[in-house]
Order: sequence, then C-alpha cells, then structure tokens
Amino acid sequence: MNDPTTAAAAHDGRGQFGALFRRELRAYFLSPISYLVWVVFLVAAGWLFVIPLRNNAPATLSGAFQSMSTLLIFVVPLLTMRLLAEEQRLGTLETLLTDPVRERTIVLGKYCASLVFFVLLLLPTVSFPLILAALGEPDPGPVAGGYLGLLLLGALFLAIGLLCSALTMNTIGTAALSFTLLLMLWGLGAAAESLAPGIWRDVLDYASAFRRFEPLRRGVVDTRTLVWCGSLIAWTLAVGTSALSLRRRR
Amino acid sequence: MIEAHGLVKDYGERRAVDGVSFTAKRGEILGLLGPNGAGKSTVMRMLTGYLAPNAGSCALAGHPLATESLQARAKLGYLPENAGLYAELRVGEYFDYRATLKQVAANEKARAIQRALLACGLTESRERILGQLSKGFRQRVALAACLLNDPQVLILDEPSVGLDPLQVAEMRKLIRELGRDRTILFSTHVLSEAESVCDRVVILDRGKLLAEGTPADLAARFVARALHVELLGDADRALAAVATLRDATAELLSREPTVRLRVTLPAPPVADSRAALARALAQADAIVIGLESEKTSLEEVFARVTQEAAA
Repeated sequence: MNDPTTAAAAHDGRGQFGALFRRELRAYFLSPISYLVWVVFLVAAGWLFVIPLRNNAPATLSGAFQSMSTLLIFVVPLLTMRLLAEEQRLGTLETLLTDPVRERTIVLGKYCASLVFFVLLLLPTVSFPLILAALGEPDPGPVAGGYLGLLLLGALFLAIGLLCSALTMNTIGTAALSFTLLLMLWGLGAAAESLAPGIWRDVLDYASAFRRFEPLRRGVVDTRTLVWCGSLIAWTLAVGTSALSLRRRR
Repeated sequence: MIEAHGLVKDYGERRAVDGVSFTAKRGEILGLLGPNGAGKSTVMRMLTGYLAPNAGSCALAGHPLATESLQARAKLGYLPENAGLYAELRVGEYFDYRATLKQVAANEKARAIQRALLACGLTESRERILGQLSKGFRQRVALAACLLNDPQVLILDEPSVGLDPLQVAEMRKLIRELGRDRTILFSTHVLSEAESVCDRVVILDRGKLLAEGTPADLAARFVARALHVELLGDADRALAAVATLRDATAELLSREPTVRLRVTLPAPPVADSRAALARALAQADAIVIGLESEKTSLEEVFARVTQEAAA
C-alpha cells in the first residue's frame, strides 16, 4: 500500500491496543467475580497442595500442578465470560466496532488483559515451591517446567474463552460454551490414558492439551510443545477475530 | 459526504431495509423519519460499518464502507440509539479512551477533549463517574464523545430520546450548530423535531424510502393544502360559489364580523387556483379581504405518505 498514513495507522494501533488493554484490566479489578474466582482458586489450589504433604509424599509439585490444571477448566470460563459479552450488554459494542479500530486490536487488547490477570491469579501459588523448599529439597527443573506448562495451558484456555465470547456475545452462553470445550479437551486426555498404545492413542494425545504438558511437569521443555501451543493460541485468536468481523454480516 | 446506494438488509426471512438510496452534502442536516421499526437504525448501522448490507453500497466522506471502512470510520462520529458507557470510568477517562480509539494524535488529545466537553456543556463534569450520571447527562457525554475526532460526518440515532424538554431544546440547538460545517444524518420519529432542525428529510417506512425533500417541499407535494379566506358578503352565496369550482370543498368557520371560510383545493394552491377562487367569489359579490395558506405539518405529510404506501 502506498498510503502515507500507514505508518501512523500502525502507531495508532499500538495506542489503541494500550487503551483497550488498560480499560479491560481495570474492569477485571473492579469486578467482584474476579476476586471471587481468585479466592476460590487459591483456596482450592492450596488445599490440593497441602493434602499430599500430610502423607509424607515426596517433595514435588507434580500433583499440585495437575490439580491446578484441572481447576483451570472452572476458572477460565469465569474469567473470559465478560470479555465481549459485557460490551454487548452495556451497549458499548456498537461504538467500539464503529470507531476506527481493527477487530484484531480489540481481540488482542482483551486477550492480553485476561492473560495478565491470570498471571496475577497464579502469583500467590509461588509460595507453594517456597514452602516445599523449606520442608525438603524439591528439584527446581520440574517446578519451573510445571509453571511454564500451567501458563501455556492457561493462555490457550483464555484464547478459547475469548473465542467463545466472540461467538456467543452472551455472558452465560460464553461461560457454558467454554466450560464444555475445556471439559472436552480434558476428556480427550483421560480417554487417551485409557487406550492401549496405538494410532488412536497417539491422535488423542496429540489433540489433548492436558497430556501435552505432562513432559513439562517432569522438567522436560520440548520446543514442539511450545510451537504447538503458540500456534494453537494464534489460530484461536484469529478465529475469534474473524467471528467478530463476521458479526457485521449477520 | 454521506452516500447510500440501494441499501438492502435482510434479517433472516424479513427484509428490514429494501433498496434505500440518498445522499447528504457538507453543511446539510438530513433527517431520517419513520415510525418505530421502519428500518432507521438498520440504515444507520450500515452507514457506520456496524452492519454490512446484503446489497448496495454506502460511503462516508468519499470512503466506501465496503473497502475503506477504517478510513471512513475515522471521519465519523456515531451516536447509537441507547449508547452505552462504561459505568466505572470518569467522564475525562472515558474521553481519553475514546479519543485514543478514534486515533486522535497524542499532542491533540487534551485540546480535543476540552473542545468536546465545552461543546456539550460538560466542562464541570470531567471528574464525575459515568455510572452515576442521569440519562440526560449520559446522552450528552455520548454525543460529546462522538465529537472527539472532529468528525466531518455525524450520524445520530434518536439523539433526543429520554431527554427532558429543556435538554431536547439544547440538543436541537447543538445539532444545528454542529451542522453548519459538517454533514449530519439524524433519525427521529418526532416530526416537529425534524421540521425544526433539518434542511431535508427522507421518510422511511417498512424498509422502503417513501419520500425525500425539504419539509416545505413535502408538505406542498403530498398534502392538498387548505386556504383560509376572509371576505365581506353573503356566506351562503360564497359557499355556493366555491362549490362551482372543481373538486374544491369549503367549510364555514364564522359569519360575523367577517365571513371566514376554510377552502380545500385538490392540488397545491398555486397562483392560478387562488385566482380562480377569488374570481368565483367576486362573481358572488363577495369581497376577499384575506387569503392565507394553511400551515401543513410534517405530521400530515407523514400520515399521507405512509397511507398512500399502504394502499
């Protein structure tokens, strides 16, 4: 394009992203649901961390990471249900989509805000490995890998939640749809475990987000996992962007 | 500035907008009139890029919405019906957010916000929280936000709904001021509002454009206008004289102190028909001392146009 304003438009895109991101993050902090989710997640995660400790289990967080992964099925739909549905409910969607903002800037701004809030949600659980270090000698590799896995899984789930929000534009609908999708992903992993080794088990393993991150919990960082997760997030966000664009064609 | 060509929008089986075309020039205030459910909001949503038409095209400030949506939207200020606001933000914070989304340059922003606050009488309300504002204030904030990018085109969907009479008058004054050097399209189902604010109106009913013109044009075209005649002479002979004119009807309003008649003519009362009326009355020895066209309101035009369309 030989449009002299292209560079300026790209700059505006960054400014717009910042404005959308800050407003969304602020909305997280002003929503009572966010705090409720935060408290419930931390209480549940803490409880699931403490139980094995009482039985003189080895000093690993493997179990805690696994249970926190499962908790994400419940937590993420609650974090993403408002993202676009709230704009629809408030009547702000119409101004948002008629201001000169690209759909992908809107999607990225909202996604990054949800990701930052998710990281803050996980932050207090850093006390778990510290407690473990006081009691025994945990291997730092699996702990770091476990956190990376949890972050990637959360990032993927948030992208799926945002996609559901763009598809339904309704708070309860988004929560229900993303919960169902995440449960199905979890089910794929469980099904894979029950199968004998073979092609179907490999297929299910490939598709299941939960099984993908098991090597990480052993401290093994595989680039293929990172690429798989990164591309799946990018693809999901791209579909979410298209869903938002296609709303204009209703 | 605003161009709509053959716009069509279907919601499932129902055709909400059916081949609507019109244009509005710079410095023109165009009213979009129609009963509730006529398709006014849908037309506006297509013009603003919120909805894509099933057929037809539209453009704002020379940018077609289909191919240059972002450039078109950069020149636009749009006030949707029931415009929503983020309850948690302060007025100033909201304007900062919208100015950024509207691509107002960072060094221009403070000035743009000040100008919008001033235009809508909100300079004292910068620190107020949006969620605590009254309906009238919220509407003013929403309108002021439209002005942040100093838009060439303003599209306002029922801007005075929910305002009290004083606020309605203020809103109309503001629209007239803004319309001097911009193009404004605004929808209303209050006809007196269109009459007092618009340079030109288009009438929409059941998705179709039924008529277009200045309020006065439309009145002349669609309503057989009545004349009020004041005369000296015999009332009954005057009535009989009017009856000799083709398709004219007369109604006696008073006998004393002067005779007053309301005469309805089949066509708009041009000079010829007025002359014929005066001649007929003169032959009945009546001296016409007053002849005045009756004011026709847009309400009557509207009723006539929509009735004709239904028939």
